[in-house]
Amino acid sequence: MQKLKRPLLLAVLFLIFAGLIVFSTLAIRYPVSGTPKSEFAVTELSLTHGVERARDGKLVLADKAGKKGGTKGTKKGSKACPT
Amino acid sequence: MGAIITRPKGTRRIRRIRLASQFAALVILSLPFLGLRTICGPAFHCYSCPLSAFACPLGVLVNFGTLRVFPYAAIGILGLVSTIGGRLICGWVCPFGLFQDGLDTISKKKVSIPGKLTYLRYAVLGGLVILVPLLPIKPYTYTFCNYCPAGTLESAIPWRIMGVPGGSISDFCIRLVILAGVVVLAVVSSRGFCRTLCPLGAIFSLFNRISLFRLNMTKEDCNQCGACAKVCAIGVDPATDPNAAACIRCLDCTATQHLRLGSK
Repeated sequence: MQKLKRPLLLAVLFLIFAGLIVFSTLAIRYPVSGTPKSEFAVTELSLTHGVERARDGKLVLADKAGKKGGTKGTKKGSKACPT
Repeated sequence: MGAIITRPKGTRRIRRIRLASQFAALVILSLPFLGLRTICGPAFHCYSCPLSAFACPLGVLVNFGTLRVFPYAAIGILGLVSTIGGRLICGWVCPFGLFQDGLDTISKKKVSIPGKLTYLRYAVLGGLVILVPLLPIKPYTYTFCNYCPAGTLESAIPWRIMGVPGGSISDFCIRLVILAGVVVLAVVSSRGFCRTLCPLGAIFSLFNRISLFRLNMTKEDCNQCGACAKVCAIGVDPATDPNAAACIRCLDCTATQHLRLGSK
């Protein structure tokens, strides 16, 4: 039983983490300014600071939230990373 | 203090292979035309780098925290990578690790880092990566990304040189001072940043003991010669704890006879 403990733990962890990726790919859609976007799209938007939480708690595109935006190397309308 | 680390000839081959792996990873992680910037990469490589191919996992955690969104995919990718190899990524893939390995060659005299300081990386992970982004303060301020030395090296400096300033000059100066500190740390202590401050290494290190691939010691043959501990630049004693959380899995110790990377 002791010998099985680690393989079982590894199998469970693999399933959980692979499940998170599959779940994110197939099921997760965030409404950004009313448009459903996948987590991968939100990843890029968040890293370019192109998406924000509005005061009402909804995700909105940064340019729609009235912020200054747009810089080299980022998506149109998205803000520069502070780096 | 001031110990001189000498590495036996057996480690040279492993170091050459590791160097090749690190350079190959650097090239793959620096191919922006791959179009994978929506996917969280497995290594510490700033998304804002003009050449980055993937999203930085820490950047994703920080920015998703700011947005109060759970990073399912990022946690899944980091979890899978950690479950497979623990900190193997730190030793064989991480571009910032490669940078530190380069700095490591400048001085042979090394300063030992007290064991308690190595827990700082968990504080950085919990504080600057997870907690601060969740605080109700101005978004994107005081988070890890604002102080990240890899971000300064790979992004802030190149963009400044190209004439695209990102933040204020005072912020840039603070970042330069932090980077300078990390550079000094890397010169006087092998992988000093990885051992004490790296939050991504902190995540990977949680899995070092249970990961699929880990170091196996054949204790029956071990005559306590201490050769593996002498080889280890990180200051781990593989004979007593081959899968210590601090180990970056450089595998230098496998040049000695009794340690092997395996799935046992």
